[in-house]
Amino acid sequence: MKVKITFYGQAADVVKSNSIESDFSDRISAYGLKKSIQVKYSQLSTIELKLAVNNKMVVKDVDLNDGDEISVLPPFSGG
Amino acid sequence: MEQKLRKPKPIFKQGAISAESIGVSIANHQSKTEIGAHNIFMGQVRADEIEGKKVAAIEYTANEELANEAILAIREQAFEKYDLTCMHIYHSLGAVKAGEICLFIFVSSPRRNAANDACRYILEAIKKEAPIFGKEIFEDSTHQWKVNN
Repeated sequence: MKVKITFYGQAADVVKSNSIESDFSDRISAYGLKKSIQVKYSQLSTIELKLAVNNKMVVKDVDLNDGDEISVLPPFSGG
Repeated sequence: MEQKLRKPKPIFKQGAISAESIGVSIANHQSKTEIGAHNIFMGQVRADEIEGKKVAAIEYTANEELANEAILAIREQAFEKYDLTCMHIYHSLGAVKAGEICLFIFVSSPRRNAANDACRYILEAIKKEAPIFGKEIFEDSTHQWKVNN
């Protein structure tokens, strides 16, 4: 299962990329993906990350599907 | 007529919001004589000094689709909560130098209380709910990520 992950703000800084494609052999949920990102990039484990799947904010964990586009959003700092 | 006034426009502007465009925006309201009070908030990039280094600019990025949706929802909530005639919101993307304007909220109402309260409500909601990210760039080109308190 392939998903596209787009990183914003500080998250893009840590990952050193705006966007990556990830391939998972098993099904994974949005929160599962967040955990795997925070394990891979330990600097992100101390940041409160929000996710959006296909540009809908994740408020409750959901299973991801092939082709989903995930946004990884650090704390907002507009204004 | 009211529906037309409430039609949302794109929120994001590349670079700073100019004083001239703000002046034009104010002038454009002089024909709307049902308005008795405007409230304007302008966010300006502050040259914070952190460990001897000065912020020279803030570079803004956003998930534009999500941010536009979030701000559209905030607009609708504000129109429901307060007696407003019209509302204009602009936020910068890209680099905005210290001293320049990065956020412009312009709320108009027949009466002052609604304009004042709505402007504050919109500002706080944007800071909290819109996925916009500010990178504070120091004079020596190093950076840190802005945190909203």
